[in-house]
Amino acid sequence: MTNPAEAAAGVPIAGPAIPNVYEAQVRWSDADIMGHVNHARYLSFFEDARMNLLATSPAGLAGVSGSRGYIAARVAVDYLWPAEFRPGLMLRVETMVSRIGTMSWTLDQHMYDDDHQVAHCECVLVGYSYADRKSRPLADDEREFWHQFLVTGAR
Amino acid sequence: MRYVYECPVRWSDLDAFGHVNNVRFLTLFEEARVALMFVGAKDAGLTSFEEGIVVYRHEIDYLRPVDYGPVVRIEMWVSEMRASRFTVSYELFDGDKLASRAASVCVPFDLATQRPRRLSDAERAFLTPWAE
Repeated sequence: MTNPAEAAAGVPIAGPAIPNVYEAQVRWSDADIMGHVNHARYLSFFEDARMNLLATSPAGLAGVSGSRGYIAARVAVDYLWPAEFRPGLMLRVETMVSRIGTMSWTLDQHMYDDDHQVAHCECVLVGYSYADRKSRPLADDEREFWHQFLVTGAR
Repeated sequence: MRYVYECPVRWSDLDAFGHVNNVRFLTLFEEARVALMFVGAKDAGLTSFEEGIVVYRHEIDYLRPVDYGPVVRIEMWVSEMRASRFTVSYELFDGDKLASRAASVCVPFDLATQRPRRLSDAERAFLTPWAE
């Protein structure tokens, strides 16, 4: 979808999607009695992918002095295939951005075991001032940072 | 000879104090053990540890807190070998700083009969180079 206001302002609407790639190391204790990677642990892998990416963003690593605050407002996970635990298993998380709003943005995350997709995650993050306990608008440099991961056709 | 293993730290390993929670240290040490006893042993043609081994005892000293960072380095060696058990000792480093010392007593275990068993000759041969 084209946003007329942004088009008029000369802001690029959407470029090619360049996912951020994170390799999650699976632990022995992540497997359940079925021998599968336990479903709840997937959330930690998606979180680690986000946190590593956020640490390189203008907002900085959460909790570190000087970082700008953000908070998760929604996490939704679809389980597509059970990942079978094996020692040394690495799951690849590819993170893109599907929406950039005024106060919040949405991450679109896909997890793979080799070429086999095992899960999908949608996460809404909100700029958040922990001092004021309320949401804050995203700064221009943050919008610019997230824009590089914006999927084609999104805005 | 020491076995060196680099273990990634997860965001969810941190607690409200902003450092790796003390209980999670056990999981990090476990990862190092799995790398040697399961992955390393399998590469050497030994799968009997993977078929059943239990922990009899853990002991951990916490020397300094570990903050969120890319990896911690775990150095591990076999500090004692007996007929039906052996002890793995560890040192955990955050950067170049020693953050924890620990040891685990491991017992080969037959899951079918639910009984401990003696170390085989092949297992002794595999562990011997790591004895210190």
